[in-house]
Amino acid sequence: MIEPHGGRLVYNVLEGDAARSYWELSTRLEIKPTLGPDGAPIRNPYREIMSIAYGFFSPLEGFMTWNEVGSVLKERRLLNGWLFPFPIVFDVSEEELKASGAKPGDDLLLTLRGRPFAVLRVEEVYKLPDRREFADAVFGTPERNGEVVRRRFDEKHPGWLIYRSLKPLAIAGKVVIVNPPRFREPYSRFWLPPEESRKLIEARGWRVVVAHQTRNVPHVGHEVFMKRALFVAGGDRPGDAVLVNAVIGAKRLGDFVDEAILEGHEALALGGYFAGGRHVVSFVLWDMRYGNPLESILHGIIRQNMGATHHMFGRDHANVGDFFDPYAVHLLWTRGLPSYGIDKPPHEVDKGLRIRPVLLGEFAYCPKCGEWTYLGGPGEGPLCGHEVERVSGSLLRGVLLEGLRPPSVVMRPEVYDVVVKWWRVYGHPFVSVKYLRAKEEALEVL
Amino acid sequence: MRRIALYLDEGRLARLRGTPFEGFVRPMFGGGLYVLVLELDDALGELVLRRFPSAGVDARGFVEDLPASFRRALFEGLVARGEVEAALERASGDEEVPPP
Repeated sequence: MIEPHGGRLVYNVLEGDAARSYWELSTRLEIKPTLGPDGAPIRNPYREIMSIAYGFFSPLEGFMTWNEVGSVLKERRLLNGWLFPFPIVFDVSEEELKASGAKPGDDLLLTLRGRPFAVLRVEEVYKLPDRREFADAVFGTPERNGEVVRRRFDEKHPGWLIYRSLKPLAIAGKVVIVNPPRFREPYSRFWLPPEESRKLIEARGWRVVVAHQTRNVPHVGHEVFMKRALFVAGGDRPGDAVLVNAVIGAKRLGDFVDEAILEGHEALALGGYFAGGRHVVSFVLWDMRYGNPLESILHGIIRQNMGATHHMFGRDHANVGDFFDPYAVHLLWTRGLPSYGIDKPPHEVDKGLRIRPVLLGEFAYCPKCGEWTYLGGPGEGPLCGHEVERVSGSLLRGVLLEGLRPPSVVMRPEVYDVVVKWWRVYGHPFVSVKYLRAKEEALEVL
Repeated sequence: MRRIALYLDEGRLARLRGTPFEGFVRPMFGGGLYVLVLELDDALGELVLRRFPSAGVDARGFVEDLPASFRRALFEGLVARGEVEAALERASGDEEVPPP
């Protein structure tokens, strides 16, 4: 079994009397979402607490001190030397800090919708720098990171906007969940934290497990992508399983709804497109930073901690807009990105990742061959000599919004039925203002 | 030049027969789906983008993220009168889109 990042899986979750003893702490603070310029939630720190405490972000144990943030910004490493791409900070306003009474050395009870949720063992309280400069330092600039950054980040980039919108102070320290929340349906069915996913992989005797990052309902191109990755990772035989891991967090208008993403992937296994339970659907709570190469490091960490041996990275992985080069992730995992302090690929540096990349280009449908074909990477053409058709997000959105059933070579009928199921629930096939409002009020947990 | 791609199944394709747009339809995915690419002059393209601030333009000049109500009204407008402008007036935001 592949070892967790940092060598030890974090599990900071307490239950029973030991947990309840923290519920009455008077030093307490209600967790609030980070709001964008229009007042809409763009991040909720509860998701980061869940991912830290259940070990998805191992070896990270809590919110970073200012020294640790500096180390991450300089060379993308925690203070213990292990590779980590993003500052993870718990930001508060001056009023919130004052009302909580928290100071270094305290146990601060964090409440979620008024109920005890986690304890933050306060190590440091510090002032964040100018948040615009902070956000630039997190993601880079064309001047400093010219090998992959194509244009300056701004409010149109959702990850940059998160850092830009942080409150002025930060509280650092280890976090421990003292009242584990229960997930709503259908999330509860797909909750597979690292300790559990490792048990599953071990019990099934899988040796090659390929992780698939998703924030989409799968079309057939995704399915072909996963199947090809199984062959690439497996060598002379197909790998054992695909671990689909959806990132569940703040949504944007026009995204697929989270419930349809999870159940859409599940429909591939239920429909028999993957046999024998070798396609496992799970999720991690994280408000995507869309950091492209940086995000790929975090994705590698999360899935290595879950027990995956390989990670698929395609064109435009965790990308939005044209801020990064479409193949920045491939560059990182083949040569490193020295301008971010990463001189070699993340799996080749000291205290780096153990998970191995499966770097893939694009897939498209060839109507003449009557099958999906591989397009390869930058500058490469399809394997056949015909004109091919790509399935883009905008094509799928157009087809669905016009009330058409996508052809089965584009989307499996079982997957389309899932889209329609949640369309009936939310009145729209994609994230709408109504969905955003409902999601942030309800979150994923009861 | 801006473009809008309208997608058609066999039923919608049949409704476009005999209109000036029929000749611009091409099959996709081996005939399981059809697409009609409308080319808008600059003024009309800008009008569409101003009308729907959430819409964007992709690298090939296609206008993306248009509301369903506009897409559907656009198709009906083409069938009935062969024009784009009327659809702009009838479209609204997409708080609800009826499922198929």
